[in-house]
Amino acid sequence: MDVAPDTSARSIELVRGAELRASLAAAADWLDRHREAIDALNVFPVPDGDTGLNMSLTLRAAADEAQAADGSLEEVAAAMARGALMGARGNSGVILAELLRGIARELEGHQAVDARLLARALGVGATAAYGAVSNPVEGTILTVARRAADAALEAADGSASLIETLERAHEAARVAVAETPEQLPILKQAGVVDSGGEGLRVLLEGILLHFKGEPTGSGAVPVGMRVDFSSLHAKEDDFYGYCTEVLFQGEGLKQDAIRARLAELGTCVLAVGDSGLMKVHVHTLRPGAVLDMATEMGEVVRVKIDNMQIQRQGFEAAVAPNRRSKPDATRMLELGTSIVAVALGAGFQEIFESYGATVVRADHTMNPSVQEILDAILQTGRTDVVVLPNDPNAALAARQAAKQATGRAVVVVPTESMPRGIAAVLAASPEVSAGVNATPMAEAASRCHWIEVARAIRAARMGEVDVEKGAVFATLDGAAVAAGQSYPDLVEAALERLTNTEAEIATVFIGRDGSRAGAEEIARTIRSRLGIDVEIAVGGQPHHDYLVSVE
Amino acid sequence: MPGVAVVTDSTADFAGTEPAEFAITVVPLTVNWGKDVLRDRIDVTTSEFYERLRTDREIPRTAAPPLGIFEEVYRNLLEQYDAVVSVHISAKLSATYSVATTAARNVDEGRVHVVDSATTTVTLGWLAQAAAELERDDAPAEAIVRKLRDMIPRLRIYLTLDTLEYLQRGGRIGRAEAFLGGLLSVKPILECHDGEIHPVERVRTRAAAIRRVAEITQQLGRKERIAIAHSDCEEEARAFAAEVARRESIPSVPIAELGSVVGTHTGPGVLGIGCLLAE
Repeated sequence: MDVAPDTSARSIELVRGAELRASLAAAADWLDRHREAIDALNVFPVPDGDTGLNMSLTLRAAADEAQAADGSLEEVAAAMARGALMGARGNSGVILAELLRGIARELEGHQAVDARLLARALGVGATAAYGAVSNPVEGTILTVARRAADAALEAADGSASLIETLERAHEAARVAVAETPEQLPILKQAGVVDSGGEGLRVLLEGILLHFKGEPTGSGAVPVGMRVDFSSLHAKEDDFYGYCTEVLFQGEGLKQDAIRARLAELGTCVLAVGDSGLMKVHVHTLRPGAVLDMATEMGEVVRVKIDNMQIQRQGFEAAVAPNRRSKPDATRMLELGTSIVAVALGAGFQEIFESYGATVVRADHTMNPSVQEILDAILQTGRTDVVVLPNDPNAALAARQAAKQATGRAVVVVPTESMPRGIAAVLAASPEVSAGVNATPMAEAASRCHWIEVARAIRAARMGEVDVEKGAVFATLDGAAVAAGQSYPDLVEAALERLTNTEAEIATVFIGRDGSRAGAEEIARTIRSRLGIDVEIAVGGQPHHDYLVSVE
Repeated sequence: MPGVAVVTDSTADFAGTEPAEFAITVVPLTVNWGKDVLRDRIDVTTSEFYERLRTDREIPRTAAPPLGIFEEVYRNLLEQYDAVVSVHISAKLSATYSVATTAARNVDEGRVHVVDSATTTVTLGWLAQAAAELERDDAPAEAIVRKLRDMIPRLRIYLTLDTLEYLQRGGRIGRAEAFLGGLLSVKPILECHDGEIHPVERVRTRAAAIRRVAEITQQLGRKERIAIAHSDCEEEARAFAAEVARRESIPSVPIAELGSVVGTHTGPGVLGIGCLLAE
C-alpha cells in the first residue's frame, strides 16, 4: 500500500507514552494483517516462510508489554523493548527486537518524541539491528532500517514535522525494499523482495497510518509479491571454531584458487599477497586443513590460530552478570552439560528426547521465541547447556536466549538442520562443560550431510535449478541440487554431489506426508550407490516428505 | 622369611603375560547360569562362554567369590608369607572388594591389605603385576600399597560396545544409564575411571566408534603402559592394536580377551583400551 501525503493528518508534533502505546498496537494490527503476504516472500518454493509470522509475533509481544506499562514515554519504550526481546522469534524477530531496543535506549530520559528525536532513535535502532548479526548482509531488513533512518534524519534536519519525517522514512523504506533483489541475487532469482525488509516497511506504515488517524483495521491483506531470506541475514558460525591466519611462501601461488579452497573450509575468507607470498585468514573448525593446504603449496612462514569459542565464552562470562535474570528455583544443578534442541515434527522431537535433550517444539516452522528457548534452558538439570537451533532461522533467537540465561553457562552450537543436531547430540558428553563439548559437537555436526526432498507448490528458480510447480526437488546441505519427478532419483543426484566424503551410515527420516514404502525405496537407492547401512526413522516433519542424513 | 603374597580376582586380564609368571593368586568370581555355577576362567573357557552367550536364552548372573574362599586363600598364604596385598575390581562395579575386606578382618586385618583398584580387566592386571614386581624387589606390603594407590588415579579405560543389550540387562551401567538407548542405532563410547563407568559420546557406526576410541586415547598424552581388551572379536582387536601402535608410535600393543564375568555384562564385541598415564 502506498501512502500519499495527507493534508488531513492530525497535528501531532509530540509523541508521549500514551501515543507510543497506541501506535504500537496499531502497527501490530497492521503487520498482522500483512503476515501471510510477507510469509509468501520465500525463496524456496515450499510453504515454510515465516518471517511475517515471526515479526508479527515479536511486535505483538512488544505492543502487549507496552500496553501494560506505566504512562511515561521512557517506561512505555522500555516495556516495548523488553516485550520484543522476550517474544522475539526467528532471525527477523530478533533483529526487530534489537532495533526496538536501540530506539528505547535513545528515548531514555525524554518526556516526548519530536521529529529530531524520532530520527535519532531510528538511527540508533538501525545501528543496534546491525549489531544483532555477526555478519550483516545488505539487501535485508538491515538496509531498509538504515535507509529509513537516514531519510528521517535528513527530513528532521530540514525542519519537517513529525508526520512528514515518518512519511519520508516510510517512503525510503519502500524504495529500499524494492531494491533488495538488486543486492541479493537469491531474491532476484526467486523473483521476490526481502521479507524482513518488507516487514519493517509495513510496521512503519502502520505507525504512520495511526498518526494520520487512518484505520489499521483487520482482515488479511492478500498475498502479493513473494519471498524471504532471513537465513542469509546471519552467518551464525562466525563465532565458532578457530580464527586461523597463515602466512606462507611458494611459487606461482594463485589467489583465486586459494580463496576457493579456503571457502570450502570455513567462513570470513581472506587471501592477500602475490604469487610468491600469501597471507590467508579463515574461520574454520579445521585449522589443520588450512596448514595442510599451505604446506602443500609451499612453506609456512607464520601461523596464528585462536579458538574463538573460548574467546567468546570469556566475553560472555564478563557480560552475563549484568543481564536480566529469571531466578532459578533453588534446585541443585548437576555438573555437566544438558542439551536444548529445537525440533519440528513429532518423530524428530521424540528422537531428540530419547537422547536426553530438552526439546523446544516448533509447530509449523522453525521459529521458537527467545522465551521458549530460555524456558527450556532453565528447565534442564545441569549447570551447562548447549543449545541446538537446528535451523539458521532459529539461531539468533537461540543466541539471545543464551545471553539471558543467567546462572548457566550456555553455548549455542549453530546446527543448520535437525540431522546435524542429532549428530551433535550424539557427540555430546554429559559430564563435561558446554565449552568442552562445543567443538566436538560442531565437528560432528559438520561431518553430517543432509538431503531434503519436497514437492514444489509453485515454479521457482533456485541457484542453477529450475523447479516446475508440482515437481519434486532436492537440496543438499540447504542448497538446491536437482529437480525432477522421482524422490529416489533426486536423492541419487544429491549423493553424486557428495564427493570426498567417506559415508558410513545414512538415515531416512519420513516426513508427515511421506510413506514407509517411499523411504524404503530411497534407502535401496542409497545402499546400492554407497554400499552403507541405511536406517529408517519417523521424522514427522512437515514440508519435506523425506529428509536423509549421511554421516 | 618370605615376603608378600599378591592376590587379585579373575576380572583382571594379563595382556601379553600370565599371572603364573609372577606367582599371583587369582580368586575366581562366578557366573551362575541356569543350574550351572561356573568359576571364571576355570570351569569355562572364554570361547565356550561367548558361544553359549550367543545361543543360550537364559541370562547369566555374576557373583563375587564366596567369603569362605577368600578366607581360605588368605589363611593359606599367611602360613607361607608375612603379608598379603589383595587388589580387586572396583567396589562400585562388584561386591568382591567388600567380601575380601570382610575376609581380611576375619583372618588377620594387620597382615592382609585389601586395595580397591577402581578399575578392572587389563588395568587391574597391571596393578597385580606391579605389586608382584615390587615384592620381588623385597618391598614391604605398605610400600606396595602406596605404589598401587599412586598408580590407580592414572589408570584409564575407554571402550566401545557392539550392543547395549548385555550392559542394560546386567544393571552395571551406573552413570551411563540415561546416556544409552535412544531411537536411532548408536554405538556408545564409555570410560572407566574413579571406579565407575562414565558415558563419553555416541557415534552412529562401529567403525567410527573404534576410530574415536583410538583418537581419544591419543589425546591423553604420554603413557607408561597401554593394552587392548576385547570380547570375542580378536580380528578387530588385532587391527585396532596395529592402529593404536601406529598412533602411539610404539612397536606393538598387547591384547587380552575379557573373561566371562566382565563379558556377561558387556556381551561380545567389546573393544577397549587401557592406559596408565605418565606421571
